[in-house]
Amino acid sequence: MKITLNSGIYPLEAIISAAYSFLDRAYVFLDGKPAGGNIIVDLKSKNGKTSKKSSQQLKGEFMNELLFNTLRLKIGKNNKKIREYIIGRALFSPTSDFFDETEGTDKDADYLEDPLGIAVPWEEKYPKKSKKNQV
Amino acid sequence: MLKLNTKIYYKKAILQGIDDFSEIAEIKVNFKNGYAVLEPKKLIHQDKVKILDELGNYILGLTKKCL
Repeated sequence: MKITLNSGIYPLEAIISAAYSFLDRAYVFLDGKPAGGNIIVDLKSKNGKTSKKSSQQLKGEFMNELLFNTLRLKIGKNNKKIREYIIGRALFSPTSDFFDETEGTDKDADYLEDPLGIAVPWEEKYPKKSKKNQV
Repeated sequence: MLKLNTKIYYKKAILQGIDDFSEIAEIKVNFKNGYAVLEPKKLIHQDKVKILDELGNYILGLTKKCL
């Protein structure tokens, strides 16, 4: 069964990705012009079923998979900048900024100092109120 | 005979596929007019048509990995 696809709508990368996910179920052959032309997808079922119903089902599933891959590719392209920014921040920020900020404080830091009052017991920090005040 | 469009299938993937199938069959390849024409020569316990179908799928898989 042959399917003709417009490469302006479905990019070649998405077609190959969709075809790849069908390799276990069918023999897939691609032909045509990827740049501004039509791409022909030839699907041949591996289980030997050649009835119209099974061919239509295979075609429908392929088209769904193709649409999914096209959308995935598009979203990937749209989010490329932010993805690169997040990864860049995650990988490179600590090596430069983090060590510069902590370098001075590490040397001067003393474990006996408690500027945030972490070592202060709860009872001292929040003394018990008298019962009269509570009622 | 199997004709693969070199604008879709990478040459690298085609040659790798032929190399990987070399134990099953000896395959002759000819690059001409934007197509790679593959012809099996010697086969060991395999159906000629089936092996070309399998090789086509295999090369498509390699092409996907090259993307």
